[in-house]
Amino acid sequence: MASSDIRGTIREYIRDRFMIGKSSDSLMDTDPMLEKGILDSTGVLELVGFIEETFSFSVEDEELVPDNLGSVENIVRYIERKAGHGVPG
Amino acid sequence: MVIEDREISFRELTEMAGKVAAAFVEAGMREGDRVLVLLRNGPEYAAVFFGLLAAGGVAVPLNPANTAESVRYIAGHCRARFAVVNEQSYPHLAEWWRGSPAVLDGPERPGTVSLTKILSSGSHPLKDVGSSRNEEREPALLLYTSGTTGTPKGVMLSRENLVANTDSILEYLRLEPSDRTLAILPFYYSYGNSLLLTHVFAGATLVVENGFAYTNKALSVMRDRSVTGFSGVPSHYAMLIGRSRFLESDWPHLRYMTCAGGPLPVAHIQRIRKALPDVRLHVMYGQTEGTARLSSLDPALVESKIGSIGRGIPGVELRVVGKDGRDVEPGEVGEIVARGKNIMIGYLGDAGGTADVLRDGWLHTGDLATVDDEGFIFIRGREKEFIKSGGYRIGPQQIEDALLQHPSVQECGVVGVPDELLGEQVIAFAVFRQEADREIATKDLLVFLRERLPAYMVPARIVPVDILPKTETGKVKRKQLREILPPAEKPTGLS
Repeated sequence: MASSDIRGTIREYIRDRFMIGKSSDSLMDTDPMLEKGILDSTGVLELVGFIEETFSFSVEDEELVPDNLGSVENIVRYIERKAGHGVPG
Repeated sequence: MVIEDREISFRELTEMAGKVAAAFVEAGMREGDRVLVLLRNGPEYAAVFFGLLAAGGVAVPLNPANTAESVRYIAGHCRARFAVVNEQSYPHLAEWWRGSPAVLDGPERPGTVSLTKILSSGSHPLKDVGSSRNEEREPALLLYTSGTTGTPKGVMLSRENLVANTDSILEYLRLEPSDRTLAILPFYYSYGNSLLLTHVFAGATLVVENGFAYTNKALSVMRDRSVTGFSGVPSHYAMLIGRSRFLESDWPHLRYMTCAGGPLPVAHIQRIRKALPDVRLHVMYGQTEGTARLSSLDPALVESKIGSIGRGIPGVELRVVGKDGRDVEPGEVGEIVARGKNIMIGYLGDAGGTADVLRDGWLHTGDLATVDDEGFIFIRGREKEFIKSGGYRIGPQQIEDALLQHPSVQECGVVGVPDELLGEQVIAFAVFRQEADREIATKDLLVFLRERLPAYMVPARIVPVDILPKTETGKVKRKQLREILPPAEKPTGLS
């Protein structure tokens, strides 16, 4: 899946599941979603479940960190790394 | 209090609270005025909370992630005069707020007062004028919780309630000034509020962590700060056990763990005991109407009385009574009732609702339980239909009302089904007006609900059904609804 598709998929999921009728335009890709109140602790786990199901890999416990899941930007980069796209790291 | 790299001493916190109290008095706050507080955990929250208490105001703490509609409803219901908000929740108020200028924890905007500016103003000694109010009958804190009708109820708690429950908890928890607890529970929630009060009263340290979602980050904070205590709801324990290496790690400083807000699965109790035999595990039970805590199980008995919520905490009488009001025999199911100085004054503006639960000096909890022959209480279910999900207390009626606003829904029923992560997961059953609506409408309906309800109330799934099981008087039989959920669709949560 191309980077823009991953981004679109993630944004759509976050908008539909967590943004409660708000326009996702108000969500910047670099916004920290926990601090902005978009996700809470169970929301992060729901997001993890969605990523695992949609992108067919498992999110390891030690990967549950803001650097991987804190913002749309971080999620896209994380998925690219895990799915073998982009620069590994 | 510790949050990230900041360490705030009691002296600093007292000064901050003094400045907040002085600012509100100067702004014309009168004793008994209600003040909405929409802040995340941190020293600013504590300063506002204690500042308002001292100035005789009534704090109305709310989840900053609440919808604008819900905040507006509560502001109107409690006739809030002031509001303290963070940047996240400010837009929720901006369009309709007509009270005094909102105090904003964030960059100043036109028409707001900056909390930063208040806290950087000259020193004001903290004068406790609030104590001149009637400590028994005047509310000091209003905590909103879902009622049986689904409409949020304002639980009025007095200073006496707060002090009594704090003293009781301290008696069994035996906190020391050297204790440092990880504060992941929001202070706007009764369990989090009790965490704030007990640790401040004990002179202990709260290590605030607002990012428990990233469990491993929270665990690093726990380790770096040599935390001695952990308090969470069952879903926090599910995350600790299911999505981290908590049980495989060494915690030399950890002295106690507490759990309330729903039943802690027996399997989790056993795993914690096995991995951390020296840590005191307090399984507790409470209600917002009881300020926070009603019972606790002595950690020494957590295995021999596994599954029990213990007995009444010091200062709280707890009984399980039958419909005739008499104590049930061991093994017989009855309702838990409670009496003590921690029991709320009542629900704000709801004499009928108050009379339903406060009868003859006893709080009727609506929770069904049995007692064993030594008086230990075991919860068996809830008479009331609350769903406890992810630490939230959700009235199904509000969700059903929202569902019924959709033109294709003929009737519906909402239940909570056990879920290892959330405690309970919200599941809706809907009868559609036309067969053709079943598939199309199910997805549309979720989007429809997301626009009308906070995310935590939106059902995990909507199950189309032909008919709802009902009683003779036409009430939906929720228990039967749970049973018709196809096994494949039953949520399993973490394993």
